[in-house]
Amino acid sequence: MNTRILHNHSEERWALLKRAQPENDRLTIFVHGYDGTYLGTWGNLPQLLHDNADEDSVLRKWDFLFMGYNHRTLSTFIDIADRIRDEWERAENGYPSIGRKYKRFALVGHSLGTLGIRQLICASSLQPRDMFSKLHSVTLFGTPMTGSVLAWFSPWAIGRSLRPFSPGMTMLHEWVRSAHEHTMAFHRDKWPRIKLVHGQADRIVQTHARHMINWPGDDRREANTASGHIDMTKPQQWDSRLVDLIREGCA
Amino acid sequence: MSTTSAERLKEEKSRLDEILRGPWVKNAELARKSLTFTSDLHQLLANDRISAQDLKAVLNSRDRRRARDLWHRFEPHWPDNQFTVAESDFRDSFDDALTILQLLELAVETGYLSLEIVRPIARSEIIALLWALPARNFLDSYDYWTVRYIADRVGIDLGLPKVMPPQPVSNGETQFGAFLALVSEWSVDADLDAWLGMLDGYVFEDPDDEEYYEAEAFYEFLTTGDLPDEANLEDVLRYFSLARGAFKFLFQLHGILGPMQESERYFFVIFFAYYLSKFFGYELEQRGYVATDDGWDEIGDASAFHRLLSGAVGADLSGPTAMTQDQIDTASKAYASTVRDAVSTLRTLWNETMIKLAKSHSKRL
Repeated sequence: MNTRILHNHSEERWALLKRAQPENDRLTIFVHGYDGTYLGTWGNLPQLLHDNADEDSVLRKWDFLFMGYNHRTLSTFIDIADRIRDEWERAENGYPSIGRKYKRFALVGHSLGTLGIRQLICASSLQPRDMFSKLHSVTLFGTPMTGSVLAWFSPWAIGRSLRPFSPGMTMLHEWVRSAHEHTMAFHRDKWPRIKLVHGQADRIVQTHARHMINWPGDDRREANTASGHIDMTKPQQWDSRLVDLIREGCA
Repeated sequence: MSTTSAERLKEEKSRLDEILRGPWVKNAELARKSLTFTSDLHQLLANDRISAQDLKAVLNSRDRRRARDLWHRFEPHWPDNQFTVAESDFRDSFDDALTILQLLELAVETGYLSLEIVRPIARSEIIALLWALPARNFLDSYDYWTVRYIADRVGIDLGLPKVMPPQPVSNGETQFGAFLALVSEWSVDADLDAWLGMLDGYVFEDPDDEEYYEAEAFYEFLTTGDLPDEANLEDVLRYFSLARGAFKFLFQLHGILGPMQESERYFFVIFFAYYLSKFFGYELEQRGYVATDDGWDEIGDASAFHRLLSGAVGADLSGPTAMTQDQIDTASKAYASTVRDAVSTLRTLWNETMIKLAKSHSKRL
């Protein structure tokens, strides 16, 4: 029996899809990209999870939180990382609006949202306590490897950071490299599993450069879909590549 | 009641509350206040069905007079009706007031809220906003299909041609959630407000140049990258704001409507019917939607973006983040292609919706 209910909070830009019975203690947090919205970015995925997750041997054990932010008010990738940490800590501590405590987390991002996730992973000062031991996996859809040419059209502060090879992108890349080197030297088993998903019809982020530009710590066995940048996070049906990838991140 | 049912009821109450306190509520205050009535219209709420005659019969002489005085405020702005600033503010506010009813209808259609929970508030809202005949005619002028649907669903006959509300689906609630997030964001976005205003025919005039028509000049800007010769800084800022609004309109509608199944997207497309009809150059006439020459769907030419981009980043063409001509080419082509994809998808959805509307409704017969 499907006991999933979508708890939607449009004013605060987040929605929680949780199983009523039995209660799960694992949470996947979804982070949208530039100009996205907390549910809209994921197309039919929330509905498909609502209708099918309880019957899925892997996904039944997970609840799903779709978080949002206003890209017009962002200054840096740190602002997105802060939002993710807030949601994580609310969930971990079982705030009343969440309704239960979660112990294990998976992060899924799209486009600009993936850079917020990278920022959280590399900046220990921003992280929830003992984050890596509770972080199950990271899946990044359409991550800008060098930036996005379309960011030149953006009038907002975060748009400047998104431009190809911008100071913001360069700094984040180096920050990730340092954090990865440090983690591998002192806590070898703690760097999270980071799966990249590229869309072969993606014209918005520079995927053609991905073989030349390596982000340290990424799983080199990346997934490739035939989709474009916007479509890659919007599955048409349950039996789809996207749902497989979400399941893989939760397995 | 099972735990799940109780939790579901609690969630629905929370969802309804959120719709009733969205950003459109504050904007609707002016219209709501202006439409305050003194007749005992609330007595009608005890009736299971309320007819247009009931609405008329219960009005006292003061409200009948007020209804007559409201005609001009609710007239369509075409072909060339003029409104004062106060009247325009009232009309904008009334649009926002109707947003609540539209959202309630969509929430029912998609299974986000049950009709039982929506019915009392929808009936009371309809009485409060649509007790006067001119207000009801406004629905017909501006394609407020969804308001007519919810009125039919809750047993109120508005005295307009009969409509057939679509059968609700049970699996569209997360789509509605996504849609609600979008509408909330749009209602506070100045760029979109400017762009939707332009689609609606609200444009700036130049007191020094009677020949200046802002919509045409902006269209030229979007399709060629050329600004009018006399454009000052204020014009440039306005044009870039309009452009951001236009592209956000396209990308976000494409993003949210494109992946939906055909059976569910109809509900959402008709919410935007008025603006999509303007974008694709259609006018609603006696015989249905009729194509005009005033569409915006030719935007998306790479050479225009090339010029826009060259101008927009001119100050940044040196230093560590310099953009080369190759990058401008790449960016322009990518942007143009993204715009064309969005226009193409929305055109398909709009055509499909027009056909369905034509089949389902006997508009103004």
